[in-house]
Amino acid sequence: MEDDISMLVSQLIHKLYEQLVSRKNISSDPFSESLAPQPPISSPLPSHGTSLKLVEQYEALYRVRDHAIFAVNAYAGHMLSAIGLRHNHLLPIYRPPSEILSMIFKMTERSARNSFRPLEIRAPLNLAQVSKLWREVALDTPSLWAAIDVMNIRIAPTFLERSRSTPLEIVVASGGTYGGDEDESDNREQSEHLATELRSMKKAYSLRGVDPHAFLVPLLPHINRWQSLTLEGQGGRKLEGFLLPAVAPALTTFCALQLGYRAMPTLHPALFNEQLPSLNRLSLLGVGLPWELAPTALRGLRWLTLEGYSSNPADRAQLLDLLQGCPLLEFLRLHTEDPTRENNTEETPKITLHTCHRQLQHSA
Amino acid sequence: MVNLVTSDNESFTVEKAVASRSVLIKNMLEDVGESDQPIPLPNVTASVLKKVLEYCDHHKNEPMPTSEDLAAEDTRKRTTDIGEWDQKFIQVDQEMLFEIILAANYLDIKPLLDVGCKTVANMIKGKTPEEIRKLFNIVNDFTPEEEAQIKKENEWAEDR
Repeated sequence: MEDDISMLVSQLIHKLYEQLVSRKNISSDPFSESLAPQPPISSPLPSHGTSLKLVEQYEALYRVRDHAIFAVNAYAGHMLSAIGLRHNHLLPIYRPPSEILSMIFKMTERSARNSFRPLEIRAPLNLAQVSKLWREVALDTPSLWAAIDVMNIRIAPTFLERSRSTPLEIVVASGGTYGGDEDESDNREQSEHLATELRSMKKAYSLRGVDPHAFLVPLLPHINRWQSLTLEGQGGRKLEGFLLPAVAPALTTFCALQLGYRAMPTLHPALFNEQLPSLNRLSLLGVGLPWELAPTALRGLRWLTLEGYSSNPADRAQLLDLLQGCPLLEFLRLHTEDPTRENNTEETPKITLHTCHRQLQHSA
Repeated sequence: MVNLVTSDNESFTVEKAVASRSVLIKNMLEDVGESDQPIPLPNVTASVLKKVLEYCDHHKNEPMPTSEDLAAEDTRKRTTDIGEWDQKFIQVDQEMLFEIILAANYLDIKPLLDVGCKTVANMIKGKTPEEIRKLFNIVNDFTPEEEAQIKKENEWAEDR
């Protein structure tokens, strides 16, 4: 076998050399300019009197060898690719149509812990490197590329391009509120994996995501397709007076959380009065609603969660005014850390929320 | 009762409530009305139909998914949400798993298609491309040029 290959390779090199030399003779191909006419390739050394200098012959042969290696590699690579393609098309996983594969990919990308994972094992990046077909399907499924967070912000341009016009889901958070999967909690190995992944995410957050404004800058050219935005303030008052640099016309979901309720930041009133005209889902955890809100600022809300909100009478009166301006509200969750004041309701007017499923919770 | 005939010419007689878990069969039954005529299923073999009917029988008393349920699928949710019985039901080899998925798609049984797809998604998640290839016996079929392109795209992995 080795002898056969050796013979074939020497013939290939010889033939290629001859071709290069003949090209030199019929054209001014810059590649073969270093070649002299018809060197006796079969002899190991050029004879005296030949016009080709030793160094030129050496360089020519050197180039021929490189081209032969490249050609063999390319040919073998394409052959392997073609055979691999045929092999793959016989596999069970290649039987379902692309639409089903795309559906599977979406489920993988939407799994609870996907956004915590290192990029090497995170969908859709891992999926797009498996095979030709998987790559085609992944690149042809824009919704796979619509989530931008602290783990993938460094390759956001790739996600922004591949998501095409799909609405974006932006998360500037450390995963600190993740509760874990019930079905995975018994599995010690998976719990350790989760802890490792969460640590990676917290590290990424501390490195890149600590300033929400700076994080959002590269995404601003796409603000028209921001659909949801989650912001986490940590270790300071990063969310105090938070305001977007521009109107986000399509943003329907906004979540802001401040871990550790020591100093509750308040968002800028213009955020709700002007910048989020399509908002229908609002969650504030340890973050206060601004005082200067227009009575109809939250009129489009269908879902409202306020955790750690202040329950003093003035704040409560404002909240009730705002709730009265939310005719579409379907879900309301209020959670206060101040149960003593909550019982003091004599000054509070009553309102009716016809479509709403309430959940009120107080904890000391 | 409804008589179903598979691609390998085997007959299955099942309750109408079981067969009607398939939207395809349900529509056929509604179109032809009361009839003793067997319903041919040219894309499903007996071994796969047997498994599919096992699923349909177990879930025959559950409400059919509504358009609202289907719309809710676009919202973000966990893929690990597979019921206990369904998890045991879908513990089959890969050959059968993908045949069930194909049959569920052809017969239009959305909940079964979901169970199959979620199972595959759960197998894939958190794995490297090489681990995924190994799992499904997929061969790397990229050409050298495509491989170079992918490597270039993934330079982020090297400059960490």
